[in-house]
Amino acid sequence: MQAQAEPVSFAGFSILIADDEKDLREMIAETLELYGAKIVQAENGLEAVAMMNKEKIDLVISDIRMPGGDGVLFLNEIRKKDPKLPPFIFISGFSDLSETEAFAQGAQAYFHKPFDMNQFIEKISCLYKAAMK
Amino acid sequence: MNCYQPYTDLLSKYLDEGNSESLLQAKELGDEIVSQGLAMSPLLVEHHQLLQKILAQSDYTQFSLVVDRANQFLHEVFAAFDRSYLDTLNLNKEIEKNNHDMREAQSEARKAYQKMTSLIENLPAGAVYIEDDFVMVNRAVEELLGCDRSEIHDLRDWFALMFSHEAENKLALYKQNKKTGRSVFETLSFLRKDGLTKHLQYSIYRENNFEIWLLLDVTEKIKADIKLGQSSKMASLGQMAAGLAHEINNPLAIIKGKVQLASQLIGKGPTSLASAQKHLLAAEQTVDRIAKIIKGLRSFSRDSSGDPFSSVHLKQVIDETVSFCGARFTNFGVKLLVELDKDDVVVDCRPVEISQVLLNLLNNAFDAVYEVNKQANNEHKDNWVKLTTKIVGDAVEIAVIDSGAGIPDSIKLKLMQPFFTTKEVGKGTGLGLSICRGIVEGHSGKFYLDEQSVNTKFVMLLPFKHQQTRSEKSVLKVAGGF
Repeated sequence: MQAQAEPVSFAGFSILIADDEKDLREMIAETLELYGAKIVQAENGLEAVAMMNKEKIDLVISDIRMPGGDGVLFLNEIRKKDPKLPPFIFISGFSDLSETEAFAQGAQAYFHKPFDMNQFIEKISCLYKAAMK
Repeated sequence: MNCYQPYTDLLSKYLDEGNSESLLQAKELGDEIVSQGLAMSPLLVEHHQLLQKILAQSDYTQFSLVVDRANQFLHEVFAAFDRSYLDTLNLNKEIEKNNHDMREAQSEARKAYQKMTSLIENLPAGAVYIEDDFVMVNRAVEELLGCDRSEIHDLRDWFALMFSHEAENKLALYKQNKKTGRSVFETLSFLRKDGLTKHLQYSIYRENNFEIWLLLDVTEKIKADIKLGQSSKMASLGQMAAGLAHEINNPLAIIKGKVQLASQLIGKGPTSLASAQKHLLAAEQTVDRIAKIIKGLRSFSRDSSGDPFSSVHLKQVIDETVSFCGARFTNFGVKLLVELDKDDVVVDCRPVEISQVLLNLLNNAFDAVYEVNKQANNEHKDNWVKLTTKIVGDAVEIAVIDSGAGIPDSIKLKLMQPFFTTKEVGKGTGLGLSICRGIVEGHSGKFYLDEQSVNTKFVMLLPFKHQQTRSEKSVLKVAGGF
């Protein structure tokens, strides 16, 4: 593990995690909570859209293939309102959607499962800094 | 002399005698002749003569009564004659008309019969007409079953031909069904005398006193179904691979995350240890989940990934592969150039799998070149596919390059996706490249399209020594299973 130049913190950052895999969702939630982030969870795209309307979300992490509301449709729904915000990260085990296509749709990052948590945190950290500016 | 002669003679005698009694007898006899309908033309001629006779005697006054009676009699005879003549005339007309109608009807019936037989004879389906023991077949039946209609005389012959050794059972069943009037619709495999197997679908339509069997040749359909089944087996394998990737990457992501989380917690000091332990336990359970998936998969696939890695001469693998497809290249005028950097390269690999990847690439390259040539009406001059090897550090780079039209930018990104194919339906499954990539990555190698190359160039970078990787087993179970 590389030494961080400064301690990472996502204090005051509200993150929505959408994934049908409960264990995975909770694992990510618990990790990000260690960095002080506030976590909201959704089981699928539809549920996630409903939560977006209820709460202010600073970052979205979403799976692509989810029963009852797919991640790409979810992203499209968000991007209709704002082409850039909140930043959107795809995490996918397997998908027909390529990275290029994901970026074209308005995603900021794409992680293939299994992904390295350090790299994941690093990416979120970048997005956090950009948002705080 | 005719059969009326005795009557005529008797009549003449009565008239000759000329007394009132004999004339009365003559009248009665005449009445009888008329009433019996015996007044045919020769008789009338004689009556006419008798009339002359009576008229010749007319100067005798005592005979005035006789003359009256004779006239009356003759009048009646002629009236009877007229009636019977008219009747006969009408009858003849009617008979003639009937005969004409009958001839007409016969000719119509013959035409209809000819139309019907020609229709039945030329039906593309086999048609059989059965009435009791009488069996008639059309030409399609002869062609389908490879027999001659002269071989079929009765029901027993027909069943023997159709069902060979099962004929007796079938005939018994048939007779039973015939009683209940049940329709039949079945498929059977028929081995012809010339050794060809035909798949036939036959149905029996029953009428009151006859039945029609229709025979359809479904051989091609059944063959197509079998082929479809095979390609869908391939497709479902790909689907399985895709689903499997999803199934396995999820728990892998959980394990990886949990382990990293635990290690982070351990770094925080003794107070977080219990929490870290919880995550490690969860990680262990998730490993079991993957193991279960793999176990289930074993029963699905022919486990060629279980083949041991062995050190083989790359040239030998290439030569064997080229010998598989070389003929196809030669036949279609596509040059296959093999340029090896070194002849004695030894690679640690599963040779069958590497051969499969090469074969796939060579076939794709051939298709690309062939397509360009086809679009130029076979006048495209420079048709070639090149297979090269080059040593790069501790690996060998095997490349397949072709003179085809190249790969459009729009589809470059999708090339390695399962089910992505530019080939027409039935020609490609869209699995080739994704499986190739799986295999090469299973060899710790790299598989990619060289975008710097002017011609289409697929590269397989294979390390001399295979390094065991953590995810190798799961990847190979998927990739090697076809």
